[in-house]
Amino acid sequence: MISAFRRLWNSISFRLTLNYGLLAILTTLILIVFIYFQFIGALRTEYTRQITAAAQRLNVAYEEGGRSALISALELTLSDRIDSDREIYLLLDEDSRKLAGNLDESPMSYPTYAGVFEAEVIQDGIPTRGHLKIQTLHGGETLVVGHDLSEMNDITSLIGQATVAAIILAVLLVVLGTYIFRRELAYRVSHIRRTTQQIGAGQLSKRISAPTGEDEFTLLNRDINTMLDRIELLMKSARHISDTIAHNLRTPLTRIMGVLRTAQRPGASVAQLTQANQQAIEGIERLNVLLEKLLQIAEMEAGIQRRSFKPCKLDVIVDDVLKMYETLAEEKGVSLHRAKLENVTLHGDVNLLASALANLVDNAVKFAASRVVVSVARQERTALITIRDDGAGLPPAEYEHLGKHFYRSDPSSEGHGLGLTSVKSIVGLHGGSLSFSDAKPGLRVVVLLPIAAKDLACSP
Amino acid sequence: MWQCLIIEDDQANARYLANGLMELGHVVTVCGDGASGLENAIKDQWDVIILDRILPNNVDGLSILSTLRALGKKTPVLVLSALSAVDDRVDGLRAGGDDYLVKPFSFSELVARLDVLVRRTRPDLEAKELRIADLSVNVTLQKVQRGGRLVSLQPQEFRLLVYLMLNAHRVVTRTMLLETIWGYSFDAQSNVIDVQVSRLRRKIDAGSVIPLIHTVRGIGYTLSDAQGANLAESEEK
Repeated sequence: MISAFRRLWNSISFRLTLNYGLLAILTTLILIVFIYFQFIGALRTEYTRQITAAAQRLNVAYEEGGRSALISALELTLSDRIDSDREIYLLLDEDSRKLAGNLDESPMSYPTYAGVFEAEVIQDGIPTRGHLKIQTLHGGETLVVGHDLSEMNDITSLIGQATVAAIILAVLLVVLGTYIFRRELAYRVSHIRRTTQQIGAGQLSKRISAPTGEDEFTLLNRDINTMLDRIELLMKSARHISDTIAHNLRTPLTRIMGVLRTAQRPGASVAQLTQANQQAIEGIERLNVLLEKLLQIAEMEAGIQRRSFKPCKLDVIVDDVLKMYETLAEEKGVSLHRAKLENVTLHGDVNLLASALANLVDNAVKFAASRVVVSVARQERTALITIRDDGAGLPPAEYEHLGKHFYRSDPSSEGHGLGLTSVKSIVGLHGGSLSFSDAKPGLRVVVLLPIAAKDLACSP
Repeated sequence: MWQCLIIEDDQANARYLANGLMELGHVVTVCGDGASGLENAIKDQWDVIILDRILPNNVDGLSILSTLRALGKKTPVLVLSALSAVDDRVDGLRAGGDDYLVKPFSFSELVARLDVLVRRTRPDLEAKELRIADLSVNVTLQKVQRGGRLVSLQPQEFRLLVYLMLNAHRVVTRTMLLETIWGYSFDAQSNVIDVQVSRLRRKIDAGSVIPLIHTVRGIGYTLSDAQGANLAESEEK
């Protein structure tokens, strides 16, 4: 029994509905108690008013006709059958003898009290409670006017019964509600749990079926599915990247091994050995550079370098990079043009941004026929860097592959195929994006970088 | 000949560095942990200290560096690290490091940087007039003469030449040149630096019998009038 309850208690839906039900019952109770006291209060006031009015009336009769008129007025009132079983009247003479009324004896034990009070009386031999007003008339008679409380007691017990019935009904409804709510919730949650368990067991392609509709669970299911899609995509690309890395490491390693094996053969001269040694060292250093770059890209993709971010002037960086490339461009017969360089300050890492721009300018100079045009512009909260060459360009089908690890549009060209990957990760680290389009002729690269609100103020 | 202190717990790497430096004729002391490293660094006079960032017992090399600087020791320190984030470079330099090198690095890059660090503490840095063979550079007037012939240079070419002159007979790497001439620190693409150096070389060495600017294969460049000699050896006279 206890363990069953504990198991139920562990269910959040059970606890939620139970708490909610208890709260509903408590609210109802408070409401009933409030109404009860309001009602009783109103009744009490009404009785007091009635008693005072009756006493007033009898007093007038006494003033006008003396004791006999009062007695006849009393008897008339008691015999009119209007509320006569609830009314209390008693008239005593100066020696406390009963002259008229429906009380057996005077509640004389109570001190004469000016107002209306509640007291125990005996009416027709039955003890009962009533509201009383006791007056001493100037002939020495004592007049007791009152109203018994049986009506009020009836109402109280009626309210009590209604309350008990309401509570029983409410408890039944709460139990039923808890059961239904818990079942519904358990059904919806179990659906999610079943799928997540399957995914946990390795079936990564499983998804929660999300019926049309906009309720919280449908939305949650959709969000979870989106998350799962993203995770699956990331895992696939991570697997792809590690595959390509392994492949790209194997080739240079095989080459180094080949060089060293050849040198190991007997009869190799010292010069040959030295040369093999030199080649091996150079090969390993190139591999080091490659790994270094991969690590840097991975770190940037994980977004862990933002600590070094400072406000930097984008136009200055672009200008510096262009100056850096001026000589190289001249040697290649390519002219570098600054279309316009607007002042843009954004939050970032100067060296990373310079590295990314250098990479893009390097590519542009490499592929340009005669000119490269660079511009920096600001569009509200975005900095826009455009680098355009007038070379052969690339077929649009290649755009989506640019920036992938080890992707080279021209496999015979030098390099690791990590340049644009690094650019992409740097731009990504700064919250921006990289896009390619046809400059007719040539390739246009557009870098969008967001300008944080706090940097807007720094820009003139 | 330099007095070098290596504070590095990775024995293989420490031995590799020590052997390499000793082959070049330097005196090397190796400390395997932070406590003895700091003690040695304070006790003796060193030309240069090579400091690893990650040391045993969770000691961060940078704390040693800070202590050293707080004690007023101005010994040049090159910080080594396997943490390759840009942040670390910033941290390392902020803690008072003079240069920063990320593992794995090539030994030649290390030697080139140490060379510049040791040199930096010497007083002839503020020379107004630099001279080697028949090449003279007036830093204040920005005038360059080779054998009496006036050479006109672009501003960045002038900066490049001054840096090479200040580090004459020493090898400077491409990254070092990029850092000094352009103020940016990243691995330059292809041959940006090479093109600039070769243009400078054309201007300086044109029509001269003795070439002054030499390429050191796989490492960088050097400015020297020692003809064709193994440059690393000619340095250690």
